[in-house]
Amino acid sequence: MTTTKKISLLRRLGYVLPLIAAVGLSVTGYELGIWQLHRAQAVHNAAKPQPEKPVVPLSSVAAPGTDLSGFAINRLVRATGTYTHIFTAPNQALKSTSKNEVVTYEVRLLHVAASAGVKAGDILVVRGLAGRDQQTLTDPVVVTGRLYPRQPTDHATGSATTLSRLDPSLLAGLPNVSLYDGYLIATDESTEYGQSISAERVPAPQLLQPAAGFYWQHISYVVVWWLLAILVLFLPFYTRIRDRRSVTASYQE
Amino acid sequence: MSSQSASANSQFDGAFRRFRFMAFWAGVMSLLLWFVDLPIKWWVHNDSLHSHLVWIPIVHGFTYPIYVLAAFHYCLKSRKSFSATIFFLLAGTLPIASFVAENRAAKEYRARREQKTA
Repeated sequence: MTTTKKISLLRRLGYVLPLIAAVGLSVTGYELGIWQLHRAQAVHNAAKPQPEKPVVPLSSVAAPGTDLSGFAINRLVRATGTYTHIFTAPNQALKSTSKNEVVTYEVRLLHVAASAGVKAGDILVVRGLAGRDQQTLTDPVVVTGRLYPRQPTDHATGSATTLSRLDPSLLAGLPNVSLYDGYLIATDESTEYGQSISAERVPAPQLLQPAAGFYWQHISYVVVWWLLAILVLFLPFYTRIRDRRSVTASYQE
Repeated sequence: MSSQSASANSQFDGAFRRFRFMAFWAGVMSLLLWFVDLPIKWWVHNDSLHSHLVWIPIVHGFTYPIYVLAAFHYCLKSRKSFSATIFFLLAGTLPIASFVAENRAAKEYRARREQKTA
C-alpha cells in the first residue's frame, strides 16, 4: 500500500470511527430514554388501583423475620392463629376518606402456629376501631385482610399497651415472638368453624404510591437522554463540516 | 482586530460563562443527588424525610439539559474534539466531573486570553 493510500485510509477511519462511536452512544442514549419512559409509566400505573388478586395464605407471600417484599404489599391474605397481645394505635389517619379523620385502632398480635413447611410467626392485625370494651378472643381465629408495610414515623407516644406506630419492630422485645414485617388490616374475622366475628372495621384500600414527583423525575431523564442522543449523533457531521470549512478558508487565504 | 473576530470572541466568552455557571450548577445538583437524595432513598428508608427531597432529582433532571446545551455550545465554540465533547456532555452525570470540566475550560479560557493579549 502506498503512503497516499495509507493517509487516505487513515483519514477515512478518522471520520468513520467517530461516526460509529456516535451512533453507538446515540443508540445507548435512546435506549436509556426508553427505559426511563417505561419507569415513568410504571410509576404512573402504580398510582392507580390495580385489579384485586385472589386471597392467598399469609405464609405464601411473607415469612417471619424477613422484610415484606413489594409483591406482598397490598395483597389480600388469610391467616389462622390466636391473638396473644392487645394494643391500641392512636392518631391513625383513617384510610380512604377524603376528610383527615384521625382515629384509634385496636391492634392485636396474631400468633400463627407452625404448619407443614411454614415457620410459626406473629403478625400485627388492625381489627378495627378501638372501643370501650375489648372482645375476649381466646380461640383460634381466621383473619382475612390486606397487608401493608410498616409505618416509618410515630403518630403517638408509645407505652406497653399503646403503639406509637404500626411497626412490628416496636414489639421485638416481647418474649417468644417471631415477627412478620408490616401489618394487616382485617376485613373479615371468623372462628375456625366459620362463624363470623363482628368488629367495627376500618377501610383497607390498596396503598397507592404518590406518583407525581417521581413521574416527572423520570420524564426529565427521558428528555436528558434523548437530547444527548441527538447531540452526539449530530457531532461527527458537524466536525466534518467544520473541518471542510476551515480547509476551504485556508485555501482562500 | 476585525469586527468578525471580535464578535467571535464575545460569542466564545458568552459560551464559556454560560458553561461555567451550568457546570457549577450541575455539579452541586449531582452532589445533592448522589450524597443526599440517593442515600436517604435507598439506605435510610424514611419516606417522610425523602418526601422533602423529591425536588432534588426533578430539579437536577430538568436543569441537566440546559447544562448539556451550554456544554455543547462551549465545545463547538472552542473547537473541541469529538471525544472531548462527549466528556464535557457526560460530565454533569457524575458529582465531581463537571467541576473537573469547568476547571479545564477555565484553564483553556485563561490561556486563550493570554494568547490574545500577548
